[in-house]
This record gives sequence, structure tokens and C-alpha cells, in this order.
Amino acid sequence: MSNYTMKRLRLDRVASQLLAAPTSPAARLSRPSRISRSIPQTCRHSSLYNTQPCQRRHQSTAAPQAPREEELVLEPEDGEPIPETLRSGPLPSPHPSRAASSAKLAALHARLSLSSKIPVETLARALVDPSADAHPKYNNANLAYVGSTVLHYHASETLIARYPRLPMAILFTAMKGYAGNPALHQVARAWGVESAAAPGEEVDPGLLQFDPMKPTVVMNKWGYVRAETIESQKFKSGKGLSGRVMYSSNPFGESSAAKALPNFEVDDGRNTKTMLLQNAPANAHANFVRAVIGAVHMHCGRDAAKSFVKSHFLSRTFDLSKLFEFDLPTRELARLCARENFEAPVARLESETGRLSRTPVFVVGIYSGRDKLGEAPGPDLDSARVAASINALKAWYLYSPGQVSVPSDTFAEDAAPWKPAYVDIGEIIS
Amino acid sequence: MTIRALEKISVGQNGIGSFILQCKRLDIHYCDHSGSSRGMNAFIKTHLSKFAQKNPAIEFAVSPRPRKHPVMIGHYINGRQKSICVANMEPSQILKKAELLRDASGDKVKRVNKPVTSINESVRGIWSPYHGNGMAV
Amino acid sequence: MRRISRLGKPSGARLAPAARPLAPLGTPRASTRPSPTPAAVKINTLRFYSSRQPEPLPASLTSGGKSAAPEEIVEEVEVQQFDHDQSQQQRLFVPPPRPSVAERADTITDTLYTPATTAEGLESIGGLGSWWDDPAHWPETSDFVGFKPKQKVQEPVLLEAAVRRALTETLLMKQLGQEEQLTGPWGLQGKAQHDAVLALDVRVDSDGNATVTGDLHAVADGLVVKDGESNVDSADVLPSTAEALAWKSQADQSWKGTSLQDARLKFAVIKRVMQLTGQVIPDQKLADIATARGLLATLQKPPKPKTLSQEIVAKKQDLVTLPNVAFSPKRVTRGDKDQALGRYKLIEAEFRKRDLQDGPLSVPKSREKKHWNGEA
Repeated sequence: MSNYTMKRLRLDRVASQLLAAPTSPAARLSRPSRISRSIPQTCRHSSLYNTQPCQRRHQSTAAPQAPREEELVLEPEDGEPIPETLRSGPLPSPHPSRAASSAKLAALHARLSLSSKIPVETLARALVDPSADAHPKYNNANLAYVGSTVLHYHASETLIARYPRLPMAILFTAMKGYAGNPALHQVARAWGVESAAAPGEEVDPGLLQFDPMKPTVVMNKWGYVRAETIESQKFKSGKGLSGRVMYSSNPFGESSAAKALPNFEVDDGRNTKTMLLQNAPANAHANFVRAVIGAVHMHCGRDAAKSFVKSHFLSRTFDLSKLFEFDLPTRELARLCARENFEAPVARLESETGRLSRTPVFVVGIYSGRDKLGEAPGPDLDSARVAASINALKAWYLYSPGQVSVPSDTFAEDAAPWKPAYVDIGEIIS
Repeated sequence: MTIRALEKISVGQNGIGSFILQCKRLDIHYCDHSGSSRGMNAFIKTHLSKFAQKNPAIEFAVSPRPRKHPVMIGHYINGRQKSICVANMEPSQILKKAELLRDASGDKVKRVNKPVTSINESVRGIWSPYHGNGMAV
Repeated sequence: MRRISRLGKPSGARLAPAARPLAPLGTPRASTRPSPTPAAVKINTLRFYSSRQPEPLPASLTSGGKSAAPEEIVEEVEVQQFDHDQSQQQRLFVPPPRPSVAERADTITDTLYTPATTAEGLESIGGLGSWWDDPAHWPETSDFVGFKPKQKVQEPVLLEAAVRRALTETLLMKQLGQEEQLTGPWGLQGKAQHDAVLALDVRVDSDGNATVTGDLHAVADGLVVKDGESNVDSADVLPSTAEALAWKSQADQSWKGTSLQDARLKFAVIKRVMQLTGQVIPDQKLADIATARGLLATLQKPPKPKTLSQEIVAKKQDLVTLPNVAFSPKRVTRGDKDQALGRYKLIEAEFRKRDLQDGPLSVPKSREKKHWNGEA
């Protein structure tokens, strides 16, 4: 367990531009804009679905103020002229000013019971995937990174404190079951998020926007692809559990599943490498969910984010005992008893019926001295013994001290000092 | 490495931890001129603003549909729709129908025989003939 | 076959197409006669009525059936032709050229002439060609100008000024003894006349009878229309809103008590108000109007909203401002839904790829509309 450490995070650095509302137009203008945005000449709109006229957007979604005329002129910082080809054409995603008029967005905001501190503009930004809008100030990449770290932190501390003896492989999978892409995809769908057919300026801002054919951003543990990961991918090393702990690029013990494409630079190159994904819809939905967590964290604070994570993710039903698959349960149980100075385990037949019939049943119990470690029925003596030792092992691994406190409980002002939680030394045979 | 992990996904149960209203959108269609829409037009004028204010989690899309009967269509998170024709109804009747659509889960209407359905294991466990003292026959 | 609708609406002085019998074919007479019809009416006067003499019926209709000789009919037709020498600006519309007709085969004396048996290779002569499509033949001046202005005046202050003006004018006409003028046409003078009328003092007694004092004759002279005279001075017969507000702030309001029980008086006032503002008072409301105040209230009542969405936008702002309510004043079409989903541009691109139309919504609503407007 000692290998699994959380990286210390400076979340304020990642998403500070979200909260810092630009004070003066000049401050906004001074930001470099690599991709220029301009108004298309014509804008067809229906009143129900598209009530705002097209406008050039201003620089940050943080300010729900109406854009003023002088802000609408964007010039790059270094005075270098923007090519005409970049100037023309519609915006890649809806203008932030349209967020306030989208009924879909307002309904989603209310459905998630989000605090009024979170503006709808931020929620609208959370719905824009990097594949729809490559500009890091208008897509959800940064918010999603904040959200993923918050989510992984709370999921891992809860799992470790509540199940201190989980083997590493199970812990990885449990993390994925709570916070992985498939789970978050399901959460997003349960939230009633609809996706647009294709991203664009005219699309309702209440729809999730992504383009499966364009490169996007994959959330990973470090925020960037480490040199060791590339190395290990090259030489196909690091596939063992220790390697997964060391070199995995996400908290689920996986190395980056997608192949990095060198020429697709979406973001600043600061967080992530750009990738083409197998399951783009799931990734986009998951990133939206992470971005919502990030928005809650940034706008409402740590405690609100924690309770949001608890109520929406950690409260989901997840039977950890269904995750185990043993190779040699009897040997592992013997090693466990040796390690813990128990008496060697003994299998005893407790009860049986129909030994000579077509469907016999044997109930076998595993004993260590006078203590019964486990018991299971089986159709023959050997499988009953194996099942009983699996039960004994699961009872060991899934030991839970109950509702224990987690480290984040001590973040509160008047919290009691942290009492170290019991965490087991590790797996029996690894 | 004697333990391998099987991949599973956690299962969400609405109402545990958080509750998400299943009706996500309510389309309200009316006609300006037809007599069958008279009650619907009155409903939009008198009841709708209050109803929409009380249910902020539902997106209300009000639009005319000329020369058609008034209709309310509920869109649900499971992807299904429920539509109710409210021709010639009184505003109060239409409000009842709107509440019905709001409270529906979107599933097909099914007969519920068991008082409780659960994905959790029974707390008491299943009775086993191999344990205990047995019963003298 | 030309559509009849292209002939334009019949107006007062325009010749009704039905009243002009078609020149029978086969009468290749091109003699012209001086027209006995009076000089063409000035166009502006048409806003009231036609001062032309009633046209004589064709001789074929007045005389007995026996005298309907072809020659007489031709003369009638020529009499009713417009005089082509009249100045261009007074013309209502340009009539199509006379049809030219080929000689009949049996009247040709040339012995070398052989009648054709098929139409192939023959030169086509005559016909109107694209005469109807030439916009020069449909001048602006030929448009019908009605008694009632096209734009209704809706502003309460302007309506009040107009009612006051109409009432004063009617009262002074009555006071001057020109009763027959109450049902006649009055001139439309500009702001000077308006100010002059409003400067007159209206005194109302307890019975609602009103008397006007001031220089009545000067105002009355401007009102009466003499035959063949233009009666429109300027385009704006009413003052601007600001001027009307300034007038209202210092005007005496007692004139509103004037009784309108006298049917001739009421008719004259309402006719004048209609001429000034374009507001028509329906018959069922006429009986309820007893005073000038009642008339003003009827006029100033805002029009009923035509649709529910208009009413909601005007009155129920709370519904429109709710963030989770999307209110559409028009029907939400499939194209609108596609656009909100971002699917529309994909469909359009696919259409373009196949070299079809620009998109599913780009078809004009009614191609017929173009034909109605006389476009090709």
C-alpha cells in the first residue's frame, strides 16, 4: 500500500483563471489569443433554440457581465496579424453569453442542485470538450483536471480508510469502478445530459459538445505524460503490479490506452498529450462530470466538493467482493496464516448430503485452530474447500473498520486532530 | 500475483446520495385559434409560471403548433417520452396532467407485485438446510 | 394565358377592364380620333373620389341589338382608349400596344401567295411579348391611393390631436352653415392648417353643445375641395409626437365633453378621423360613442393581442424571465431542432456534396408568391 501516494496538488494554479474575473478590458486584450474568433456574417436563429444574436465572445467565462463593444476587438499580443483564414468562420462552440438564455442549461443546473455560486456560464463551459473547442479558455480540460484530482482523492481515501486490506489490483479496479470513464459516463447519462450531433456556434449551450473525430484530452494522474511511461511503453515493460504502481498514467493502474499522436497539439501541451480515443463519447461525458466537480470545487470550496463527490459518486452501490479472482486461494490462505502467526488452516467437512447422488452438497469449513476462517458449500469436496478458502480470504481482504474518518475530515476548522487510520502492510503473495 | 481483479462499474440508485428528477423536459404545444386549446392557453397564462418556478429542474419548451390539438410531451432521462393530449381540458385538469408527467419515471407502466424490490443482498440470508440442529421429521 | 391578377386592382379613375370591350380581331383600322373624355384627373385627388364623369355605356349596350355593327364597336373602343399624347406623369398605367393582325387569306389579291399548311418556319408577328414583365409599364403612380392612409396612427397623443382637429373642423363647418360639406370630401393640409385648427377655441356648454370661436373662414377655406384641384399639401398631416405632447400639456380638456349625438356630426367627425389617422371604427362600436371622449377612448384602446405569445410577452413577463422556460412565438420546426442539435450544418453539407439545394430549409415558402408579384 505504501506505493500508492497522492501527488500534492496546487489546484488554484490549474483553474485560477476561472475565478479571476478580468477587471479591465485592457487586461483582457493583453492576453494572447492564438486562435482568433470572429462573428460569422449570417446567423440563422430560431427563438426557442437560439435566442441570442451571434457575438464575438470575450475572453473568459468567469465574467457573466455583458460584453462591451470595446472588448470585442481581439488582437494578438505581439501585434502579429491574424491570418484571414483563421478570422473567418463561425466559433467552434457557443458564445458564453448565450448560456444565460438556455433553458436546458438552467434545468441541468437545477437538476444537479448546484449552488447559485456556480454560474451557468461555467456549467456551459464544462459541457465543451477539448475536441469541440481547442482553446483552453473555452473548453473544460482545466476544470476536468481539477475535478478528476478531487474525485480521485476522495475516492481513494475513502476506499483505503474503509477497506485497509484491499490488494492493489482490487484497489485500482475499485477506483475505476467509482471514478473511471465508464462509471462517469453512466453518471452523466443519469444526470440527463444530452450530447449535440456536432459542436458549433449555433448549438444549444446546454448540450454536451464533442467531436469524436478530433483529438481530445485524456485525464491522467500526473497531468502530463511522463518520460518513464513513454519508455515503458516502448519496451513493453512495467506490466507487472509494481510497474503499474510506478508507471501507470492514471489512478486505475493503466498506462495510457490511447496512442499519442505527435502532431495534434490541442492544449498548451502543459497538461496532456493529445490523443485520439477509442470511446470518445464516454471520455467526453466523463470529462464533463469531472469538470462539474471541478466547478463545484472552484466556486463553492473544498467541503462542497467533498459532499458533492460523496453524494453523487461514493454513494453508488459497488460490491467489492465481486471483483476478486484468485489463482491459488488455498496456498494464499496458508501463507496468510503463516504471516499472521495463526495456526495453519485446516479444511473440515461440516455437513454433507447426497454423496452418492447426482447432486451432492458438501459444506466445508476452514479452521485455524479453534477459529473458523470461512465456510462454503460445493458440489465436491475440493471445490468446496477452494470456495471456503476464497471466502476466508475475502473476509480478510474486505475487513472494514466501519465508518472511519478520512484525512479530508481534518480540513475543517474545528476538526479533531487526525488519528492515524490502520492500513495493512500489503498483499500476501504478490 | 494470485489475485486478479474483474472490472465492474458501480451502480447508481436514484435517491441514494442524491436525487435526480427523471423528467428532464416538458414540451408544451398550443394553438392560438382552435377552441380545443382554450384550456391550455389559460393554463399557460395562469398556472405555468408557478409550476415552472416550482420545478426548476425541468426545461419547459412552450411553442405554438397551429391547427393541432394542445399536447404536453414529457422527455425522460431514460430516453423515453410520454405525451398527453389535453384537448378541451380545463386548466386545473391540465395542471394535474403536468404533475403526472413530472412525477413519472419515464418507464413503461408496469404492474408492481412485490412491495420491495432491491439490488442489495438479504440481510437475514437464505435459509440453509445444512446448518443448525436440523429438524426431526 | 395571362393571369387577370396582373392587371392590378381597379381604382376609382382607372378603366375597369370589364367596361372596355376587347377590340374584335380582324378590324385592322388604325384611325385615331380626338378623345371626347375630360382631361385626366390629377392623381392626388384620387385619394378621395373620382371626379370624372361617369363613362358612357358602350353603344352596343345602350342601343338596340340591331345597331351593333362592327364599325360602331370599333369607334367605341377608340373613344375609350387613353390619350397617348397626355403627359407621362398623369398616366395611371401604360396600356399594352394594339395587337397587330395579319391579313386574312381570302382578302389577299396577290396571286403568288400560297397559304401555309403548317406553322413550321412561319414568322410570328404581333403578340405582347414580355410587355407585362417590364416594370416601366407599372409605375408607382398607378398604385391605388385610398381615402384611408395605409399606416394607422396608434399613438394616443396623436390620436387625441387628430380627434380634436376633426371635431373642431366639423363644428366650424356646421357653424358656418355649410351643412352639405359635412358629407363631402375635405382637403388634407399639413401642419400649418393643423395648428390653425387647434388654435381655435372650443367652448362646450352643459348639454354638450360646442361652439367654435376664432377665424373660422380661413380654416374653412382650406378644407373645401374645389374640383380638379389637389387637396394634399404635404405628406405629414399630423404633427410629431413631441409637438402633440407639448400641445396636450397646455390644452384645455373640456372639448372632450362635446356631444356626438347628432348623427351627421358624428359621421363627419369619424370620417375625418379616418382620413387623418387611418383608424376605422367598426359599426358595432358606433352606437356606443356619445361624446368626443367616448370616441377618443374607442380609438385609444390598444389592439387586442392576436396570439398567446404576444400576450405573454406583453403581460406575463414572469413566465418569459424564468430561466428554465423557453418560449417560442413561432412553431418549432424540424430545422430549428436540427440547428439546436448542430445537425443542420451536417445535413446542409451533405446536400451540398450531392449538388442539391442548399439545405432542407432553403426552399422559399411559396414560389407562387413570386408569380403573384408579377416576377417571372
